[in-house]
Amino acid sequence: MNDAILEVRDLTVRFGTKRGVAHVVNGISYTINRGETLAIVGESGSGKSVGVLALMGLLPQPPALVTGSVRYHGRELLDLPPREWRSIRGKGMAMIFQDPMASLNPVRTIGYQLIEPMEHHLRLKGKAAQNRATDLLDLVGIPSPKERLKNYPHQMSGGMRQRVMIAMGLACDPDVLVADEATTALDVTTQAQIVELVGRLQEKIGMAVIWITHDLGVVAGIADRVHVMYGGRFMEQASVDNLFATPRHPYTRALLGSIPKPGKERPAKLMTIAGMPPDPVLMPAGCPFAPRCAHADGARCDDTIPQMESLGGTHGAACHYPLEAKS
Amino acid sequence: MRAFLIKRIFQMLLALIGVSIVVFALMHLVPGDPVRVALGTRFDQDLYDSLRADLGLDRPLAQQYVSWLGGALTGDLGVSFRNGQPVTQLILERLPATITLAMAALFIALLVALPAGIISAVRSGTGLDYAVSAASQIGISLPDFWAGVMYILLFSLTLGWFPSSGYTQIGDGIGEWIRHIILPAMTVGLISGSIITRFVRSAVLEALNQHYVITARAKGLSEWQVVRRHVLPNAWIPIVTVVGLQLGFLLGGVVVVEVIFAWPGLGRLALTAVKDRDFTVLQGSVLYIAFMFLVINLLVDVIYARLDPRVRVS
Ligand SMILES: Nc1ncnc2c1ncn2[C@@H]1O[C@H](COP(=O)(O)OP(=O)(O)OP(=O)(O)O)[C@@H](O)[C@H]1O
Ligand code: SF4
Ligand SMILES: [Mg+2]
Repeated sequence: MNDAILEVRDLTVRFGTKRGVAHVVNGISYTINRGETLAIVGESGSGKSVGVLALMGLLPQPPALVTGSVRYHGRELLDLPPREWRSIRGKGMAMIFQDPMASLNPVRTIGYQLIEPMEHHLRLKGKAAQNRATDLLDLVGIPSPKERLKNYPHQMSGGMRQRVMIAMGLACDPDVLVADEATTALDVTTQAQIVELVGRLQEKIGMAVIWITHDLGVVAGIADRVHVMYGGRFMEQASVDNLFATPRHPYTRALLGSIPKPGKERPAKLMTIAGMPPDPVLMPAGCPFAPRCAHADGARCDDTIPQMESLGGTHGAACHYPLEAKS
Repeated sequence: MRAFLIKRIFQMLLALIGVSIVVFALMHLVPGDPVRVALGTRFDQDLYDSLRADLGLDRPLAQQYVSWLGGALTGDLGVSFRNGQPVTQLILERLPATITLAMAALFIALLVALPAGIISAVRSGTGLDYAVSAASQIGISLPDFWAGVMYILLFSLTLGWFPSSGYTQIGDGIGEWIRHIILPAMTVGLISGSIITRFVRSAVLEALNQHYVITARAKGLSEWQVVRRHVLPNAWIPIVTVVGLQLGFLLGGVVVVEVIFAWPGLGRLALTAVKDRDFTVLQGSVLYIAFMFLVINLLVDVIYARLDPRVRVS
């Protein structure tokens, strides 16, 4: 397991806002190895996107302030001059986004947008670039790929556009692909196809994937390990099997309780935990989940932030009173 | 594209007919009898009646309109009440001065507005952005007559670089032409440029906030590449509209500036026509201005279709 591609240590992101400092990401750490899929799960507003935008260097500073460490193949990214960081972005580390319509430029052809990173990083031009673009579209399962290169985004369906986004992410053979809610905007069938596609490509190319979602259901199908995020912190981290079988953090338990079980009605809202996620400007002094937690003790939980502690193996939880493994 | 063009030209003709009806109606409904005014103190009922008959003013309005429209379609806009010259000829005589001034002013406007607007959007929130905003605010608020007079005082009377007024044709020497056109073009162009700057800034800012910009950055493109390859191609779409609108205004003649700089453009022709109640000239001028607007509109639509693939297919 010494194949670490990306090591994130104590990553913190704050924003200066009119209301005060927003503590959006509050010291998250993880390592991702070659060929591995790591899922980051959490409610809307928990800081998932900001966390990965920070490690891609895509947060304008100011207003953001990013601290901590992000090592890519042992090289610290956060101190990198912009120029050198740009040579990694889109090449070694690629990112795909939630809304495939908004994420593609409406006035540029698919071919233009797909070839752009190849031109930029691999100096591929003309026929060679065209061929590679065609191959990529073919790889992600787009029929008659050659003709599609001339299309504009509005001439494709949502699922097709998301496949194009993935092809764009793969353009320069990255070893890390960050997928931020890559399937959220799609219908369930297309969603399953995309998840399956990424899994297949990953095996074939050996890249690592950071899969961000608020849908625990998707996680089960794709990830090796899961980090549960809340209030800009990781609450629990475990292998997928362990997380689903023995969730140890009250928040994870609540999340799992809110996903639909086979045979039961799908809840109207995916997250049905009472109360609201914390306001990043007014973060609780103790455990961020305390205001909504059924197990909070009203003392330590309110004034001491629980640290991530190992519960055996790679399973960890940040809670003063981790739940029993069985129940 | 051809079907699109044909459709748009057809719409334009319809609009032109609509405009002509309104123009015609207005001219005949506003108080003030042009023949009476023309006669002035020499008023005599018989003369008055025969003049009206000569001009066809005794016929029913609808009939007058139809014959006027028929003439307009063949390029005959009637003759001036004042001096009997053909209106078409009066307008055509003024066109070179108007078009050259409009083009020179637009050139100056774009020369200022494009870089200023783009830079202040890309560097939004910085001192540079505020400086550009302040400058364009001043440019918009300054009255054109005041700016024109100031330029004359500075560049003409004090520094003696440029003549304070007058018009020469391009054919009579490009150097003299530039010397004469520069001050009026600057007066109009800087105001126009200030307006366009704001639109450029907001169009670029709007495009910069779109998601595809993050996608482009995620590819590793530099900020300038992102702007050039992704932001501007989207920003042009709204910018073209404003530039077209500004050009429309400029081609209609800029009255105040023409008066200050003794510039023989359409603005002054129309102004004189108003003063003299020279209805046929006024009618012709307004029709011409409407025509210019519609032509530019058509041009803008064609450019739109070039810039925006979503327009092209629908
Ligand atoms: N530029 C900014 N300035 C201030 N606050 C910000 C900024 N960007 C994001 N935030 C705040 O950071 C928090 C986390 O945002 P983020 O987009 O990372 O959430 P998320 O977990 O990705 O949620 P979602 O599932 O909705 O995508 C939000 O409360 C948001 O208001
Ligand atoms: S630390 Fe306390 S409040 Fe936080 S999750 Fe654990 S029990 Fe609940
Ligand atoms: Mg997000």
